Amino acid sequence: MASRPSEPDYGSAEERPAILVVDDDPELRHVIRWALEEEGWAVETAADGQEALEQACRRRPRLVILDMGLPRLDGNGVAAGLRTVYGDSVPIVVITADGHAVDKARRVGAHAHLSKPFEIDDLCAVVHQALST
Amino acid sequence: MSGRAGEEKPEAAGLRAILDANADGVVVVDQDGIVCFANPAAEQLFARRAAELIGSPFGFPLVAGATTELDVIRPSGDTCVAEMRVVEIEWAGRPAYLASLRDITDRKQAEAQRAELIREQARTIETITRVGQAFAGALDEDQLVQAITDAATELTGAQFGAFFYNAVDEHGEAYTLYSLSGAPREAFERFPMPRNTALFSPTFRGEGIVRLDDVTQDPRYGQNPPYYGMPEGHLPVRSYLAAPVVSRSGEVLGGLFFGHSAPGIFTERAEQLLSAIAAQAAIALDNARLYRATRDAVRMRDEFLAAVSHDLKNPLGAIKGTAQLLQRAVRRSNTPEAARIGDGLQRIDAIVTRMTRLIDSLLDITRLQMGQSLPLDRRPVDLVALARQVLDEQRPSAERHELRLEADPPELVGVWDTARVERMLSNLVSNAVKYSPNGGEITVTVGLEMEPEQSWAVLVVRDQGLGIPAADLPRIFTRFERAGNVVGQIPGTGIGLAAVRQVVEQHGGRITVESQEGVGTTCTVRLPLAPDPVSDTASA
Repeated sequence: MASRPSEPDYGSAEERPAILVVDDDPELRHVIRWALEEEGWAVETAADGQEALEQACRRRPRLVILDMGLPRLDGNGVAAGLRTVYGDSVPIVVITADGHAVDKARRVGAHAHLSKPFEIDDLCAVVHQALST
Repeated sequence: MSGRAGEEKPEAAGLRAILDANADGVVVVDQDGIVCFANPAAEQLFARRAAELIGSPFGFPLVAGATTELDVIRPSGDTCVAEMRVVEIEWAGRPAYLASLRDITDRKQAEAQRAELIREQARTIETITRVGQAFAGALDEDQLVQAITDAATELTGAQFGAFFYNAVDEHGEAYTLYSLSGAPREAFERFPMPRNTALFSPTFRGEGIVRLDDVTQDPRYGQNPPYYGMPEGHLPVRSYLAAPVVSRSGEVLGGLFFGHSAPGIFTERAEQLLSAIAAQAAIALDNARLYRATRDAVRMRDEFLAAVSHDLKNPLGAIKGTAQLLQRAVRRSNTPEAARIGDGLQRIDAIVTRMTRLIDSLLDITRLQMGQSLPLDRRPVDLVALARQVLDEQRPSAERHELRLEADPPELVGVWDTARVERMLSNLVSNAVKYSPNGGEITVTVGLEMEPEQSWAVLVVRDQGLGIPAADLPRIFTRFERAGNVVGQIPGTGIGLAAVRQVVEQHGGRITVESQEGVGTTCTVRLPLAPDPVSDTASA
């Protein structure tokens, strides 16, 4: 864990497409990045909806892990932007802090949904599953 | 007349003298109904001379021994009321009637006035009661103030009425117009609010009712710039009536003002009515304000709970994720120390799970309270496995207890919201642990009840703890309510059982509790295995 890279070192320099993690909580971004990198995936992060869309437009992400309650542009806006640019080719995993994960996931056509606080095993499982289909 | 007197017997002349001196009117009428005698009092009563009366038909039916009331119409058109008593006598040797008449006009008028007064008082009381009842039921302040103004305008006989709030602006002057009756709002809006003038301010100081037959004749009128009286175009007011509305705390809430373009309209009765209405209005306004304050406080509390619960999820997610990732890391090394660290991390993880369930329960209940719906995420789930998992989770924090699971059948799958049923189980088991501080056996029994229409999972959680006083049993499922024997002894919020019942009922199930103080508590939950499409509502 001491060798875990800090967030700013990652990004567009990576060759292979990354998983984009969008959450306004820095601790949670950190944990998700850590888990996914341990699984061997490249990870980019964004702290709000607008930043997320800008990053996604610069380089197509393999998958987006999307918190629904975001500043500047909410999860619905990000999902709509992704659909506009990439169609259905970028799977979305929705994470929510309230009890309406199912509804929200359905609304944005998400591949899967997780409610905070989620199990790391569940996170890895849904990402694996989304990327293998 | 003297000629006639000469024909009479001497005793008849004596009778005549007596009758003439009588204060009551006396008339003698013969068998044919013709008047043959009238005394001076009768002359006065009928306003006719005896000579005119005698020889004319009397005109009123005569019944010996009866007392009747006569409406007498005098030649001038005046009327009076007379009470008449009739006796049979012999007059000039022939049978005749003697009618004695007493003028009771004054007495009748007094009686009528008293009756009218009583009727009026009854009407007043009835009106005040009706208005009071209408006010007492109203909790919306705007509607209430309008109802008060309308009622008072009608009852005082005013052409227009208004309620003004006792809001003083920074210049210490304007009062906010609040509601109007009998006049369009524009009639007032073109002018400044009733100002802090000599005429208006006594009402806003709560100094009692002002009733003026003609406001323009009052010395206080017209003393204040800029208008020195009513501005041009103002509703023409001559009759003026105003009452302060004073709350229980003594605060002057506002004033009720009434006007009429004719002078002398407002009676003492109107003043009395207004006084009663103002008192009722003050109570109703106080109630409406208290109601609004309470409702706002409840809404703020619920919004606060929802926001806090939501905000706690992010840090919990970070803690849980970190604990799990560290567990993964230590699992890779095989040292005894790593095992201890792993054990500690697992506890952190379990604590976060428990905290999350508490928050979710709180969120669910708060949302329901706020009228939001809670859709269930139903999937097939094994209740026995869920119960086993919950017992395993709770075992570390139940050192003095023996946690047992009895399941028959060994697997019982229903279509439920897994997270919520798990939370329900966790709540029941942790309650059993918490409220048996001296330890003991906690048994969870899972069984199946087959019925033709519906099959039920029956879950029983039994402890040997403090028990619940019988008097508290009916309210333990209400949120923020706790049993009297644990308040101040064992910390808690009163959320747990309320959340349990909510989850059970949303699944179309039922929960019952049996308890004996000092012996223990048994909670029985019955859940339908599959949803009933009718009763499975989001806001159950």
